[in-house]
Amino acid sequence: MNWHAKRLRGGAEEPLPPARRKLDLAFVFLRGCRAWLPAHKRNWADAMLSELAVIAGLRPRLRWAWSGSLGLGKIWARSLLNDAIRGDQDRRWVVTMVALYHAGFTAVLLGALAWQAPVIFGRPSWSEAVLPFLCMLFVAMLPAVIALGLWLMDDAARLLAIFFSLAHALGDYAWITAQHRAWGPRPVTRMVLDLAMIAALLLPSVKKAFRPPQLHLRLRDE
Amino acid sequence: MTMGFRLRTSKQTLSLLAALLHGPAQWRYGYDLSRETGLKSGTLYPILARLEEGKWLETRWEESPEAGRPPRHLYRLSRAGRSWAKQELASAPATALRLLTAIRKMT
Repeated sequence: MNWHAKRLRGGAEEPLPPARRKLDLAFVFLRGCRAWLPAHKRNWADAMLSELAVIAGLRPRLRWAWSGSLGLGKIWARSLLNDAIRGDQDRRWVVTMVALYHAGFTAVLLGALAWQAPVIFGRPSWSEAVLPFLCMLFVAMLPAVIALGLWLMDDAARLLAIFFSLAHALGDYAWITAQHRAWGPRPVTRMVLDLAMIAALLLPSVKKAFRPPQLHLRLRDE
Repeated sequence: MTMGFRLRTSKQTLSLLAALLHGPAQWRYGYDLSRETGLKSGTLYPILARLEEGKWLETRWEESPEAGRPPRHLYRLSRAGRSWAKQELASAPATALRLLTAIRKMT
């Protein structure tokens, strides 16, 4: 009796035969997750896939694959964190921290916009707010673009991040002095963070990491 | 990662260490370890990955005798891993030890 017939008759299920693996939902799902992993972590997905071949029954296989996908997520996150802390070949961990700060900045701005949107668009004159709202949306996305650029080790993003931090620190300073506000802990922390980020992005090791690899050009007859 | 780093020994890690110490020289399959410890694949493999990173665990691939079946990953504690595991289990809190005793009885 073949595997499919046995399954239909409700008999005890056996591990999946190799021919059926290509179409098995658990295999397809776990293989899909494997594709998202960095190359040096794929052996763990392969290990899970090889065990999947000996698990009998679709439901236990799906459970194994689903839980396994979460496990692969943990392995991937841990590898990312390790890279960020230790610094891999190119990326210094400070750059990752600055990138995370900028991504967080965007998240906060988008959160504020989302919070304000119902108030703004609930008014009769909501159409007047569309353009400023879109402009604010654009501004809110800028730090995220910088974060992405930093993650990709783009030197323009590094310069833009320095400019952005400088503008932010100066803005804070101007706001406090012009409005005659007290020097509270929050604006001071923000300014210290901005200055620290500028200093980090100007570190010689960081600048070097952002430098594109040298191209060696040769003449044809050389 | 260098050997000797501090791994957080959760209840799950302790149960895995106990299972691996059960037959310390024996190579074990991931699915068997999962059944023995009751750990889901999503918990088991991140622990195995961390143990391997710390050089506490030895791994190898075993070619399947059956054609078309992928090679399986095998695990066992390294020599340093064994003594570390014994140490961790000895200093485990009472609740964790009760859990481990239950696992041993099951197997």
